[in-house]
Amino acid sequence: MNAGFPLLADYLLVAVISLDVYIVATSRLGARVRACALQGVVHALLPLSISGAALLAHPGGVVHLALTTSVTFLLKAVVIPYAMLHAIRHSGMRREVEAFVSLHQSLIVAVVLVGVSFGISAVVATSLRGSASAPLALPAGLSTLLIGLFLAVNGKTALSQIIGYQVTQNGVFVMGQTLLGEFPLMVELGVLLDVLVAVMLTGLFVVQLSGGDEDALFAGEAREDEEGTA
Amino acid sequence: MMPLWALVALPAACAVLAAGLPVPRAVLSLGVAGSFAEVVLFCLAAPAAFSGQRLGIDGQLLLDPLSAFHLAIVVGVFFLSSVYALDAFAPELASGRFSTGKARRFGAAWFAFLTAMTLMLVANNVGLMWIAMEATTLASAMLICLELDPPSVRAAWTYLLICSVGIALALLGTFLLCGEARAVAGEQNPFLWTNLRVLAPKMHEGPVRLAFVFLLVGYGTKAGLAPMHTWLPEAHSRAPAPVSAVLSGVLLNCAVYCITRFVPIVEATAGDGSARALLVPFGLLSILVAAAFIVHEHDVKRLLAYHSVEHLGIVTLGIGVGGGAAALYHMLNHSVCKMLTFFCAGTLAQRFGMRDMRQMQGIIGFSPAAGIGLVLGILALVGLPPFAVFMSELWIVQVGLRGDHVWAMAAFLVGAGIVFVAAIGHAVDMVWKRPGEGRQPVAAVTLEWSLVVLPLALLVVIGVWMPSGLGEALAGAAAVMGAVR
Repeated sequence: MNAGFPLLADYLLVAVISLDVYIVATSRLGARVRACALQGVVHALLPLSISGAALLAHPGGVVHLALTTSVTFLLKAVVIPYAMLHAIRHSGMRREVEAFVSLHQSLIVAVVLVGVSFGISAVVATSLRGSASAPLALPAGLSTLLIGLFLAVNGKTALSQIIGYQVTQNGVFVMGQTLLGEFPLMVELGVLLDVLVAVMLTGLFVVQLSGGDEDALFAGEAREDEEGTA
Repeated sequence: MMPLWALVALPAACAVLAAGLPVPRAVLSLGVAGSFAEVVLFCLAAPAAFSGQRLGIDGQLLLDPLSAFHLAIVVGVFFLSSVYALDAFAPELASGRFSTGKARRFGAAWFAFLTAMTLMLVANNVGLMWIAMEATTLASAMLICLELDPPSVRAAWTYLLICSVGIALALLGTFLLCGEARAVAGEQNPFLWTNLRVLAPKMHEGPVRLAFVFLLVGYGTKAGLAPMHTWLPEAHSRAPAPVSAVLSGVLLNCAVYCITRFVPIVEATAGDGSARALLVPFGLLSILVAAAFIVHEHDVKRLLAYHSVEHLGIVTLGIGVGGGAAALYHMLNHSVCKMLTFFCAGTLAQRFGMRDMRQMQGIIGFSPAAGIGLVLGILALVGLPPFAVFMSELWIVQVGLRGDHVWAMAAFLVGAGIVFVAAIGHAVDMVWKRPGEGRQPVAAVTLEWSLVVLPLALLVVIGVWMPSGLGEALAGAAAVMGAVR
């Protein structure tokens, strides 16, 4: 079953989980963006480690692998983080994350979510045929997904919520990578493109509109102009 | 024979073109011309599709009776909404507030939206279908915040976040399903729906069921099913009226379409109706939640948005109880009706300068075409005969009762009853009270009348008489969904 470089895969997946916890634990937006970018690097390397040998075996496999790895790296580790950091700088908003649940409590939640993921994975792994190739991938993907959802719900500002969305996507991809072994190139690139545009739009909303004052934009329920305007 | 990719390429080209046009009026004209050309292309491609499936680009694209049925609604609603946009943006155009930049943003996002939706419907690759679905979110978020004022941007952002995170779960569901299919696929591509359909009986039940839960929650978020509907009222009410019409009229249908693509696969694997059974509670909850909100809603566009939640709940319930054709018929009726009501509500809100129904009074005297359209539209929406919505709801109830879903149907009728009373209450106030002081009646132009009369006539005609062509299209599309009846 181990068609790639299994040891490397294990290291990478442990890195994914550690980065999840780090993202929750740090209070600075910039640090979260960088950690998310590192997850992108891991994501770019995963196909090589999990199914590299199998991919390289069939014709055109080298091109496929090189293309996915480089494009994933370029988008997830360079372009998207750059856009995010740009938005943070130009929105002039506070650099600290604002969230509903405090940092300490969030950390507890994250640890619980990682534990739950390992529990769920142990139950479902037997029925998912792809998961045998890298036993850590399923819990790593699931905990990334759950922590991403938690971050998206817990964030009070657009930028911290979109980081949650990116972490969720990373989780989906880690799981997909194991379940499928290889993605069709079109699917992988298409999804990446969607994520990129979503991030760009978020940046546009935050920067262009708020003129720096994101609080004014997203404060409370703010239905004050509800009745008046068309 | 025209290749299928042309259906996607045409609006894509229009999007690029619209982004470069120098005059705002030209963008709106391109909107009408481009969407009309899309209608023509569809009419060329449709006959072959309704009689069987057509594949394109190495099997990546597929047009079969189910996607053709939805595509017919999409191109029709888009064309009429483009025509309505001429009317809706006319005051802004005259006052110069519809700047070139805004027009370009509108034109590019409008056609990008049409491109994404068409691609979603003709995709045979379920991964591509997901990508196009997420692209519809992105394009329509741009349309919702066209005004770029804080409330509309807030609505667009909420919409973008909830739907993107939601359908990330559908992507996971897609991967789970295709991962399972890959184990039995051999040399076949496990991402192609046509292959999945064939491979389904060989797949293991557990992973497929798990995948369907993720697909249902993911695409259900986009369809505005309760309890994942929270983004919908804000997004639909903040968007410019032509955009609301498209969001409500066709985008929600498309999300349900994604779910219905997977129902026959799960059924072929599990074979016990469990996939459909899962749809019933989501449908019922949507109907009841929407009913509760409709009672207290005073914003006309938010009222219509909650009606969307209700009707998509009815559609989901209909599919859940096995009434595929009835549910599709209801989707068509809801689309036509919602398009009409958003046109009229948009026009009225513009002329009154507000959306609060308590202050929009004497609407028929004040603005005859839009007033009559809105009132009759709401009556049609709550299921008053002879409008077609009544017939499709009746059909769903019949199918449900035949299938022993008595309690589900009872709950549905309670919800529909609450909506009926509440919505008519809102409508009566808008009609009977006098318009406020100093409001001069606004005469309607031919364009406005035709946009009201055409959908209303259609609703009455297909409500009292089912043309054989429509009946066959419904049956063909329902057969793809694997519906029993």
